[in-house]
Amino acid sequence: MNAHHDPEFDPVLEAELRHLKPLPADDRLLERIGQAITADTITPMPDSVQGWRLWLIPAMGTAALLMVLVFLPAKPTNQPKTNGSSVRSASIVHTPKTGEVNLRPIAMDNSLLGAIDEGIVHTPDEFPMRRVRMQMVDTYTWEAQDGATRIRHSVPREEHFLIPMEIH
Amino acid sequence: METKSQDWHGWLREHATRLLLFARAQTRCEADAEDVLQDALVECWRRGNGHAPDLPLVYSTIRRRSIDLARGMDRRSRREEAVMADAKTVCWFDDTLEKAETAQLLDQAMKRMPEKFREVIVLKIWGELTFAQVAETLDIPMNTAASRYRYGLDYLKKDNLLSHS
Repeated sequence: MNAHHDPEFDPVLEAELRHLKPLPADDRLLERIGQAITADTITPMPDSVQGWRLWLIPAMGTAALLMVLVFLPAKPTNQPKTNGSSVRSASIVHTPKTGEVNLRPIAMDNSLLGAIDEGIVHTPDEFPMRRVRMQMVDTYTWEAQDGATRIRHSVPREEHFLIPMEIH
Repeated sequence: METKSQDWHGWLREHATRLLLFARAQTRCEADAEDVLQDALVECWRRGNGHAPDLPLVYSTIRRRSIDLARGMDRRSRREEAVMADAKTVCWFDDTLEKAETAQLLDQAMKRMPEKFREVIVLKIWGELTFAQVAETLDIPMNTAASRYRYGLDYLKKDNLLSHS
């Protein structure tokens, strides 16, 4: 029964447990996962981008987006001044054919890039804890109603937390 | 690329059931288990550049994703009612077979069992991992994995779960 040559503590019980099969994953879930994987291949993450460069990409994207938002309204145009909605008109000067772009949030994803084990630390009352640093990227996606425009905004973040250790 | 995709679907059909069982054991409701499994598989697919990943890697990714999910306080409260609802209805084991009653008893015993025993039992029995792979997946020493496995079996025996006990 045990193909791994690990010790069996209770061969009868273990055999009986193996005989009980887990509830199969249904086709709906398999199809959903397949679609998610297929969709993910549209925007694959390059393998060569690792480490600090991985953090640079969303940071640069965010900076570029902020610069566009900050400087675009102040850019001089040849259009005559109008009252009221002048600032708003300036912001859509690059999309005269489609008019105003209404973006709506369509997805939010929290990706865990990795967990760094920083070793054992002790609390003031000398209780041992393991300190782990989690590196994550929060990604928000907005899409225009016609589906032609999509903006993805990624923000890297780190969280530190302490895990109580078990003493055996 | 098409060949890789077909390989992946075959791999998914072969392993999805055991991966989902581990996701169920790591989360608190069926919806969370499915979400965690999907996220973990997409992440492994991305990292593997389209190649089927190693099972221990997928298990550890499911575990990390579950930890990440559990830390979302707002989501936790929203899921609370769903947990109570489906904890009673979704049986983790196939209770349509001839051992339906035993499957139900095992399901209840596994849900009552402390998580640190449960995850080792699931990985070892239905995940078909070695103790070395279980230890790597859970980031614990191999001896600890083996002792937790033994305690888990004892727990099931004390529960008068199976026919021979």
